[in-house]
Amino acid sequence: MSQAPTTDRNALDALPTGNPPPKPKRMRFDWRKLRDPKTFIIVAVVLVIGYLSLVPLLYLLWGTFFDSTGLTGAAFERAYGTTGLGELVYNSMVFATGATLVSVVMGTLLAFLTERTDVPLKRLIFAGSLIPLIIPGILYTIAWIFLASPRIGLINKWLEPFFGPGTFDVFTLYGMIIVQGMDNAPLVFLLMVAAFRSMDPSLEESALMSGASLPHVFRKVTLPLAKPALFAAFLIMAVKNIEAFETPALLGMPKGIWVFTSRIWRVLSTHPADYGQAGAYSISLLLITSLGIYFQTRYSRRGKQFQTVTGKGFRPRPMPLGRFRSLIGGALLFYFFIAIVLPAFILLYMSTQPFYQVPSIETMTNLSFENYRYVFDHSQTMRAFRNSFVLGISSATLVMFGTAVASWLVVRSKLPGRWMVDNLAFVPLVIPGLVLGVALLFVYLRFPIAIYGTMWILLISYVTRYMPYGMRYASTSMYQIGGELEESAQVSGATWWQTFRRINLPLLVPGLLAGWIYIVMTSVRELSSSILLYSPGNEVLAVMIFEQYENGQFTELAALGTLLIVALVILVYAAQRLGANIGVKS
Amino acid sequence: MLTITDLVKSYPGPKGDKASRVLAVDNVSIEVEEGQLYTLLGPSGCGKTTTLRSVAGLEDPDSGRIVVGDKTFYDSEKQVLVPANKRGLGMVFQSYAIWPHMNVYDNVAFPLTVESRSTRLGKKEMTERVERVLAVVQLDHLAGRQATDLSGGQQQRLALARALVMQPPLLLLDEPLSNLDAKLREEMRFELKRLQRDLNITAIYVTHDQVEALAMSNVIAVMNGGVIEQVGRPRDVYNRPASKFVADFIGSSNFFDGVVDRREGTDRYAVSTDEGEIFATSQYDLAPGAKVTVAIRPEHVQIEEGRPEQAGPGIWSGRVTARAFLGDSVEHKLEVGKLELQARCHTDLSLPANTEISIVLPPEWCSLIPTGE
Amino acid sequence: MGRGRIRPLAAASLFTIMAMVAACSTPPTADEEQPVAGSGEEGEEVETVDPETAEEAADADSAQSALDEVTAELEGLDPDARRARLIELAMEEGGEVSFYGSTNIDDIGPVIDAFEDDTGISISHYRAGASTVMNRILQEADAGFAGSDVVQINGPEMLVLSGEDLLLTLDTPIAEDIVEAGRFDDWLAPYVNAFIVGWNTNRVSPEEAPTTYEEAFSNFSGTLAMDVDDFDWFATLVDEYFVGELGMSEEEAVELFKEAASGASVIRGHSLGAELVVAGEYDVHVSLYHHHTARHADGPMDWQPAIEPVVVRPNGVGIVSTTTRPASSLLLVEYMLTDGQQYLADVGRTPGSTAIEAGLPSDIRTIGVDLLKLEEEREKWEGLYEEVVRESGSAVRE
Repeated sequence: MSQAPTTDRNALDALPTGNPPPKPKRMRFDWRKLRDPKTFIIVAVVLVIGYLSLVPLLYLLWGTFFDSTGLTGAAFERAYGTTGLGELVYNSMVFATGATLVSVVMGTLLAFLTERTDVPLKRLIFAGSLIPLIIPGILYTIAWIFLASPRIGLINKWLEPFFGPGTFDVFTLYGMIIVQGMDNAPLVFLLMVAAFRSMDPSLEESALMSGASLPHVFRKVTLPLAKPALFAAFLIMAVKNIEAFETPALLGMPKGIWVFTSRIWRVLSTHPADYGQAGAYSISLLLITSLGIYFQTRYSRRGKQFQTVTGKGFRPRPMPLGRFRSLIGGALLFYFFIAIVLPAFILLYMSTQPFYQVPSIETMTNLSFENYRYVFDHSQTMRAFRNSFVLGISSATLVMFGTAVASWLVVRSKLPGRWMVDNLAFVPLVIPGLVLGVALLFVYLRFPIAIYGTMWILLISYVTRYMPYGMRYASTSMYQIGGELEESAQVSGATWWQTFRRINLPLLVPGLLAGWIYIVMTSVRELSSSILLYSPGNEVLAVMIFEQYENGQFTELAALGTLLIVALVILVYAAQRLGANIGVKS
Repeated sequence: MLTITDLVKSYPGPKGDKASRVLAVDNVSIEVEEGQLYTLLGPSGCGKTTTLRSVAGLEDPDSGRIVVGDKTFYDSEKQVLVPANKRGLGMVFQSYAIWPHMNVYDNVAFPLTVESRSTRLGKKEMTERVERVLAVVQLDHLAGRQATDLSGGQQQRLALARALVMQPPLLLLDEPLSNLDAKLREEMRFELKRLQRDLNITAIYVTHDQVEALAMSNVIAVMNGGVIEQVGRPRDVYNRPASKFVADFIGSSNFFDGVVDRREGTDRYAVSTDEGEIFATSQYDLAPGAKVTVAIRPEHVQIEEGRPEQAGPGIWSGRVTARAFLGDSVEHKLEVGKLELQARCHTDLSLPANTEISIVLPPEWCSLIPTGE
Repeated sequence: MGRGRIRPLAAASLFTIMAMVAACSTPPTADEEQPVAGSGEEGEEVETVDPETAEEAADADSAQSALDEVTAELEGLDPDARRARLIELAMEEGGEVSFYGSTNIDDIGPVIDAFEDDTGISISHYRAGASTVMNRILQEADAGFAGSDVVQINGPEMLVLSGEDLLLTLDTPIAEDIVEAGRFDDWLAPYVNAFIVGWNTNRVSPEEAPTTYEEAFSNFSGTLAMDVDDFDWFATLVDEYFVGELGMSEEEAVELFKEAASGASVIRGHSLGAELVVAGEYDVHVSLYHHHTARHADGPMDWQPAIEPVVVRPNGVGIVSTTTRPASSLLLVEYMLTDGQQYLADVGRTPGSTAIEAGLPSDIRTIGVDLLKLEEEREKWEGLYEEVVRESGSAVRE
């Protein structure tokens, strides 16, 4: 009894049908619209994002494609014409892939357990997971040398009675992968926390009810729903790991494992720096990430499936782990012990010593707080702390607000070319910090307003550098918010700004807060552009970190790192309290 | 109250170019009168939701005109497009769209608080208004509760309260009951109808559930493929489907082909079919020789054990091939020559397979639908 | 109710704005210590990072003639009178000087403090790595911005600035006291960096301790460390020692380094290298900075008896050609090379002035890095050293 429904539809219809659809009419752009806050805010945000990312990008392109003779491709020839590139690429790919997998898997698991299940010690895990974010990167890697080097590694010393000497060797490709992966896991953790927090558990519950096991539900229901977040995590991690320098330099180079980035760093440290060659690598990377973003935006057009915050029965509630609760809790603690407690312990121990020695009864009983006194006596410590936190908090707030608007534009609006905004916001990720610094110097030395030499130039630099991260955090959350929540506010008479402020922003809070925490934390240790752009009086902590590192004051640096961890824990706690008051109550 | 004229809305097609654009709404015109509950009924993708969203201002149509009361919301000729937040309509979404970060009171009060300062109600009036509308939907005792803590039915009523709080001239309902379980849906159906009638609200109701549509509407417009197939009172649409689609979509129907023999009265025709002549009713003006499809609903097919006592138009003999007990009725599958029919009978009548039967197809229940060629 | 909800957001934005305004409203160079009051003359406005001044930035020629004028005025004065006159002139320039340097604050801080106390001129001090400082000066000069008056960084980077005509020619009697390797027309060495071979005394007994480069290179395969950047040290040793003194061919000498590298780990950063030797990760490091060993005096590390010859590379101080304060700049340069030398010696640096005996013992034989020659052959030596470090670990890898 089935039939084609369209065959006889014109029988009754008095209306003319079958004529081609009329062209959609374009309303002409009205400049008066700029007075409307919606247009104004969106135009402003797009302009700012465009400006911030185009300045260093154009500088880079200019350096890459122009030399004294005019337009040229010589930089690419220099970059890719080197012999032995094959091995570099191989090492880089293995390293980047491995480290990406480690951080994505660990970060996602940790986030899933803390957000979606009743695993014990949640608060501890949350704050603890973030610790690698604030330990100056170089210290985290050094701590791992002291833990897992075959000669002096503490873990190897402990395991020696059982497995003989040198059980673990951190100076290997897999050592690099694990250290880098654990160092970056917090970024993924924060991204996934935001994604999981805004997820309707009824979907998981109904799957559990139908007899599926927890791992099955995780794989079949939870992960697919978190696709935009996972995609973001992979994209950022892949780029970060391809660009990573500290781990390969400290753990790879000693044993002859060279990666791609050692080249970028080399061409930037020559005199004069070969920005062209560095640019050639950055541009290659940019093309790859652009492709990724383009496809994600296209793909997510059909992305209603990711909207997990709908206006119906949304009730964040943890799933019971049942009899595995203590087992999983134990496994978590073990990971914690390895990835966070051990390095933090090395840091704490170092900070009480005049120089690093393998811990022994003698050194452990001979503790001193000399290094802490040094840090506090340092004339600029307090000012640097204040400057760093003011800058970190300001840039994090600006970035998260701006990217929240931008992500609305990318995810919600139907403007043509909106994926370009997403792409622009991502550009700074592939620009080496030093090149960004030089580009900013170039522009603001010639700028009519006094920005050079003030804190503003640091703020601009931080906002630019962290925009890509903010954008990933914000858009990931935006994908999750059901479109009808916003539409119902519109129909209720709310203007765009009222809707954005009272509906979208509060619902985005988990994502925005996670991004905010990430930016505040990592901006404190931002070195490559800060050191170039700060001015006397505007010292930031990065300058102190740099100084102590260059000068071999690792124990003092460890003391500073320990203090930073304390500051971090306080800040995260405060931010969480604040976030709990504005977000969805669970 | 609401007049939609020649509304067209298309979407980019799979190839993204102009030629492959998909017409979601194809020249739809409707007229809704004050106090009516007007239902747009059709399968998913038929354009009913797009039409509703165009009225709400959530879709930007390609062309046409939308007027509510004396206000023009959209007119492609005059380049008028009132944004959704300036239309002052109430809408209940399929997912309810309850804001999970607010409590019940705040959800309902939201439309009042976003009004511009000059027209915004005072604090006291606002509280009064919200409380009153919460009382109407019987949620007044839950005002302080977090919205996410409500049950499905309560959330649905909350969404309704929020849509009503502004006292909109027109209420838009987008499949509001589809997310409820069967029992609750039935309850809410009457509740909603009662509220609409008591408060004398004009409402557009979008649904794919024909039972809901038949039970609640004053007028039903059946949509398919972006066009309206039939508009009418529920009884008319049910009993006199104007197209094969309507006949099939609303309830189920037996279909068979025939050719018009002659006209028997104002709307009565004699039709010859492969299995014999029948009398049938049609609102169409049909000339002799016109090819038609005859539609008759299973519950209107009358059967009786034994061969027919007298032959005549619409009285055939046949055979039962199968039967099924459905609780409130018994369904028989019948065979008349090569034709297969279904008959739904009262539980008193239940005939085993292979029983010889006589079949009566009453002229008033046989609808004719022209097949076009 | 809605009001209450947005408060945290509003508070956060307000806080951001206020914090930024508070942080930025004070001029960047106005330090906590107020500059000693200027002489009230026209040079009142002297903030280094003010675009106004940028436009007035002296071009190289006029800055040079301004400096020459100052030098001419000082002609024939004895050291004390010369200092007194320079202070006077510096006060007329505003009593402030902007100093860009790469020496860490613990080492250079005492010099700065003493300078401010002794002269009453205040210093605005920017610190970063040598190449960062260099980059910043290049960029500022390119934009005609008078950011720095005095620069003090490693010799190779000073040569780059010199090559770009960004340093003013110095005419000062003090130059005579500076070691030859660190005496140039437009910059002078306040100290030299000495590359020494260091070892961990817990792992290497005095008998096992290497006495020659060859021993260091060959006896510690698997526990040896090298620095990834020290092509200047490498070039000097190959050229002056292995080829020049021992009569090897260049190929043989490079091969020697490659063999050493095959049993060595390549470390980035001398400070990390020293730390890892002290911690016992490596037994011997072939190119540590001498002044880092002083920092680990209590630790299990030694470098004496020294393996000779020790390669030394001068650090340099000079006046940037965008300066608008020639007298103040000259005052700082001269102070660093005279009174400042003792403070540098106190923190374990090896002074550039021959007038002070400190740092690396003078009985140790040294070879200076020939910066000018190295600058010409830079690409060759960088390439060769890259080949050397690429060998790292090849002998100890499975």
